[in-house]
Amino acid sequence: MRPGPRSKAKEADRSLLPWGMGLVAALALLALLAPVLSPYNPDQQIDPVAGRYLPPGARRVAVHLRDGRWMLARKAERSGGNLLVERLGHETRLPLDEIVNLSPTGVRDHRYFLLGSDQFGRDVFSRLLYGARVSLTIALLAVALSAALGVTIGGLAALGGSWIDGFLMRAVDALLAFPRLFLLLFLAALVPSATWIVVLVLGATGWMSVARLFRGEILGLKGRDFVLASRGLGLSPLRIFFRHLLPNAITPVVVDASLRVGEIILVEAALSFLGLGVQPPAASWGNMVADGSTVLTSAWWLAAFPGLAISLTVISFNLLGDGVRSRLDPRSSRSATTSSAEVLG
Amino acid sequence: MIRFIARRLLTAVLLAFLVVSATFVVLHATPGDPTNLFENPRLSRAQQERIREIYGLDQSLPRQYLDWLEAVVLHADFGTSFSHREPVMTVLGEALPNTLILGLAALLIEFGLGVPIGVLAARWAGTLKDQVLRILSLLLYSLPIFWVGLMAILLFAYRWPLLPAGNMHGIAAIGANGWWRAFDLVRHLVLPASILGISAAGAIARFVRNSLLDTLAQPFIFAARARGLSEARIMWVHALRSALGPVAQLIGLSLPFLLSGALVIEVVFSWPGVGRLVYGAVLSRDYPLLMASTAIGGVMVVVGNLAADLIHAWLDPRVRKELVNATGS
Repeated sequence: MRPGPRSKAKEADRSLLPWGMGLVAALALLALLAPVLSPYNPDQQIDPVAGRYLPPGARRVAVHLRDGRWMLARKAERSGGNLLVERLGHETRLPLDEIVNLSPTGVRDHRYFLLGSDQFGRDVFSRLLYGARVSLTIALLAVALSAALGVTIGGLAALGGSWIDGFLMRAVDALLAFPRLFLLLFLAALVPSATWIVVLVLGATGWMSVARLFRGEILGLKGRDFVLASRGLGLSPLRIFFRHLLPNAITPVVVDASLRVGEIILVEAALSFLGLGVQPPAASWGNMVADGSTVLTSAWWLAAFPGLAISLTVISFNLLGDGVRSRLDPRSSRSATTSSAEVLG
Repeated sequence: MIRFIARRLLTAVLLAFLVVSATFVVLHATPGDPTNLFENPRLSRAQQERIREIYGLDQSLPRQYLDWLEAVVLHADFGTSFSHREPVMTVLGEALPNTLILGLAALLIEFGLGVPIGVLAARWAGTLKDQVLRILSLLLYSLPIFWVGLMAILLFAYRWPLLPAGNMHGIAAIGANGWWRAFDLVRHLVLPASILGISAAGAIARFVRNSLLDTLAQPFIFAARARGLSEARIMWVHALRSALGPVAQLIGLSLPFLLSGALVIEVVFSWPGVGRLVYGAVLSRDYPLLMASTAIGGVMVVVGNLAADLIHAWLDPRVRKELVNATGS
């Protein structure tokens, strides 16, 4: 036998961890600093007529009118007592006293649409940064919720006696039997859509495998000497659970959760893409792609960039999850049966 | 063995029945009903009540449930779809083959690509090549498939118009002869099936790699090496056969996902399959259609799980023994 392919392979798995951590940290920073980093207000429809569907890299002069409106123009030059504005293929003359942001040659402000603009003239790049907050918050909360639910239900099943165990585990089987997207569609269609409900729905459909995992861990620990000893010492069941069982059984749950974040981001994106997740005007990457899909051929950037953002984020979290698993889980070969099945979904 | 199968089937059927019943209750107990579908300013209250009466929506929940169950069990009648105004079985019957075509094509690509990549990665375990394949498969299962679908349409249907952007048949294929129709179908199948297949191949590859690495560390591989068998034979015959057990289980488990997994892709590519049907039914709260697809989904889960176990037992004598011993027959 060649020198342990298994251990060498595990080493390789671990080498991905720093990459995952770095990328996830960078993403989290981008989302946190969205108000500072985004060049413009993500909801501002600066000039809904001349500002819509601008391609990536478009630069426009921004004329600020006295009545508060903004006008985007290709060019704005002073000529005599007027400002010569080239907008929507026409040249118009505006009296100088109607304009707020004059400079010696034209106007002071301009807009640069790094990733283009959408159907209302909103800046795609700014919306992407703010969308990161929505997508990441939903994913993290949903994963936390499903982990909490899974630990509670799995713990109950393992410690609550055979009748409760049988009932809960059959329920888990039944729920696991159904493709996630099916369940999600049902739930999402039945309840009114709001962002916190998306979190609830995602959390409520994700706890089953956690419950199974945690139950297995607890059952394995239950008969161990240190648990029997603490029971013999007359410690209360709650104390035994929180002080002795939980800390020893939580690692696989953490590993599982770290692998699930990427998956949840994908599911949320798909749900929002189908119009059943985050609702406009809130920007989530999924509904941005949905918006873009209707004008795919004329404004490709609207669907392309949010999708790219989803992909990068999921890749980062999966790298992190993989790394965490190979570091924390001694049985890291117990591969992602469920998650690959869910990838199919 | 037969007793084992019978027992598994019985529990599975019971499970499917429970799920379907729960779905029925949840679906009907939540506020709002399909008359929203007929919501029309010109529709009077009385007319709306009349519609509810015709579809039996004015009955009590247990009554509705028993009626539904009776029709299904005794007459195999799932009722009439609200939104399609046709028997549910007709609507589903038209969509199911389309989904199966797409799903099977995707499954072929998925395993045809995933298994060899996984084997190569295991062979090269720990080397740079393994690392490249790992990152490649991680990329594949990290992409949102609806987005990949849109980008593929953008590139291969508009930028370079090589393939159709949606639907299952072109207009030209209507009334055409068999060969032309088949060719047309394949052209329409290329994008959705390969996107579904390739995105899932990443997960399969990773699964095969890890499963193989576990197998390669086992004594019987050691023994095979000691007998002087070639590396290739050990890898492709001895190790792979044993490592494929869990993989085969994956095939069985992915059966129900063919039904729903293609949903997003069916929506993106306007593929006239079950996924798109269910999506529409959810949006319009088409109870009969939703109930029927849940029931069929349940049956597919049952069959899939059973198939997974049987394939696994067939591939791996150790599992076979375990199963038979467990049921004592």
